[in-house]
Amino acid sequence: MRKALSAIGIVLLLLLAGCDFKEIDLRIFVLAIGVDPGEEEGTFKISLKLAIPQGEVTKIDEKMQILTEESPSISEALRRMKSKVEKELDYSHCKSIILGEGIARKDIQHVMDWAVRRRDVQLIVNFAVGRPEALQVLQVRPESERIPSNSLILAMSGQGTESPFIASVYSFQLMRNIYEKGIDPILPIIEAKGKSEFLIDKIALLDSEKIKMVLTPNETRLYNLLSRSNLRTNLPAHIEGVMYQYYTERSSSDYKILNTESGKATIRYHIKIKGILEESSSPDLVTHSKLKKIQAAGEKELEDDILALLKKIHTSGLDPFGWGLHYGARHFNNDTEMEVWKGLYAGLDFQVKADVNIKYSGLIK
Amino acid sequence: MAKSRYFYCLFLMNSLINIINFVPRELIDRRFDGALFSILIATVLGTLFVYIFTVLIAKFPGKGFPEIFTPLLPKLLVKPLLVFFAGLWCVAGGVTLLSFVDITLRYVSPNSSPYTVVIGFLILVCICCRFDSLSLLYGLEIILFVTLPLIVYGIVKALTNPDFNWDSVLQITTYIWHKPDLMSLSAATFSFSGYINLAIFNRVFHGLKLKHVWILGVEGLLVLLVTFLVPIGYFGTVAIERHVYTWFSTADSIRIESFIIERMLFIFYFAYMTLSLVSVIVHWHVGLGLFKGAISSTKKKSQKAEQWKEWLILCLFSGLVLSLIWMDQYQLNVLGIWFLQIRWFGEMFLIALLFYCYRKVRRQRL
Repeated sequence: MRKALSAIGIVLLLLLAGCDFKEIDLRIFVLAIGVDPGEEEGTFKISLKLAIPQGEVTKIDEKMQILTEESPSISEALRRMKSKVEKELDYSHCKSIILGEGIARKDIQHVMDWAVRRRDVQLIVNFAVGRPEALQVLQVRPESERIPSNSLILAMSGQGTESPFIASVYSFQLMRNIYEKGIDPILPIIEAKGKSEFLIDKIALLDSEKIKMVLTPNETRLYNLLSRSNLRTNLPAHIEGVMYQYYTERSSSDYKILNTESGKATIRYHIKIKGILEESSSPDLVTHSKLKKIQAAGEKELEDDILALLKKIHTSGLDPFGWGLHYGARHFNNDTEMEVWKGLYAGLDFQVKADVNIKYSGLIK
Repeated sequence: MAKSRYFYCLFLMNSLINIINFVPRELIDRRFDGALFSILIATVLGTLFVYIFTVLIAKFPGKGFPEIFTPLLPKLLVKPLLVFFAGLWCVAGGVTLLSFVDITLRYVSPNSSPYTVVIGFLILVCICCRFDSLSLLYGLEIILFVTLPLIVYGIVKALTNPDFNWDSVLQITTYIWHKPDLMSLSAATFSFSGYINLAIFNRVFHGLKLKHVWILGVEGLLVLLVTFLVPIGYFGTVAIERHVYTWFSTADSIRIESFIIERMLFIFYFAYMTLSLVSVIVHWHVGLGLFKGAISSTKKKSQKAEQWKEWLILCLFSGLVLSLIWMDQYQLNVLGIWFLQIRWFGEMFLIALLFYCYRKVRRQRL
């Protein structure tokens, strides 16, 4: 009895292993997907960046291929592309989805929905806007790149470069912020500069559908300073025509929404920075009192810049920092709080307090 | 004879397993209408149930339900009751199995046939649930020992992620003062119903003495809060309802930077597949024991006949699962919700029955 059963079990196990699993050399890995508007109205131009698996790591030579197909539906375009290659397309290693600016200025929800719904696309895919077109961004092939599309992956994930101008957005975050009340999504913008260079230093602010506003590189840096902690960047301080730059070793920011009862709300930001002096345009000795002055000047400049950024964002009517959600999370009148917030948002005031603490003047005084 | 700590293992297994299934979905569907308050009430009720049940069953050392009920309840009533409860346990295991087949097809091997997967699982479960109770408890302890660190790692990783949105979580907690509802209450109490497996496993516990029952309450509450709130931190208060398997989506949203595998999903899948198969085995072991208690006659039968009986019952259980595999995700969900409801009332009924038996025994002694 027992033997018979175990025999049956083993036979069934053999069946299990046989379900159509494809060997790795029969697969092509899609590393990035680009979505652009097609020639005809209402169609998509889908581009896939493919990596071809190679045997020896030491002799690796970047081998990649780009496929393009136009169709009114994303899945249709992908199925059609299956006829253009001899191997099975595998999306499970796809790391970035680039939306062409044409799509991002019209409607991102369709593409987002597709990316989140498909089971073999990860929820930690990086979303970004490609300029001028997603296809051009995919075609970029930096000299330093060894593995196809690796440069994009490294840049976006923060594993490689830690640029203060890059904000990365995963698909689950994009979806969360599109649907959530009281917070609006953002997307980083990747610009293709020729065939071998790209530039990621801007972010786009979106409502739940399309791009409403694009921040400049400097504003992007300040946005990142406000939205995450320990941003590594340099910040300026000017005293009497002399320019100083300090490097932020540690940074943190938080905010409070004040005086909500009187019908007018103020958002008070508090930024704390611990820095080192990195650059000085004058040969003068940096004394202790000078360092304090630089600190004060730095605080003033930072406060002004951030205030300008906050006001700019406020006039666009968007809420990328999630102030509305923050307000709702601290009020128990669940049915009315979002209505109240709408009223408060219109007359919002901002205060910024920066605490810059420059401890060292670098290796020299 | 098993030590009391195996009781905690049974409890822990049940409360951990509720993450994957219908419990978070049910709670999340009612996140704006009193799910949180229901969780608090369920914690109190659940702990109370555990306490009452363990105190009562400790009066019958070494006896499972069939041995308790047969001499104390009317003959005509015992058999249908045992069959009913056996059915409940069978469905408990079956529902877990069906949803795990669905998860496997969705996340791991989309191209294989559901029958291959379900038959693979069924063979394992049917072979294992015929083991004796004590070895199952030992096995359960070891499996928990392996999977618990992985699950804890996953939860810590989930909570320390900078992309976790605490404001969304706080926003949901401001909905605490909505009145609780029955659906989410019965869903939340599932986290505490590991104790009910004592129906058969009490055969190996002689004089179960529990110290610190409040620990079970705290553990259940923590697991429920994590189950309910962590996915909201990842998907927001609104978009969360669009995810089918909220916890698998959550695991998919966590990236492990410094490990061989980048995706938390696979670690999570491994831990939960092991744990849910063990839970199915435990549930069916209890169902099998109850069913056997219902159809066994007083005269002694041969070993061979017993074995055949067991296989017959297991075939019946497997047949039920196989006959339900046609269901799509919405129908499966409805089945799960119905099960959660009926199970809760069944639990209350069981405790009442046990109380009745206890009273009767005391009166006989006096």
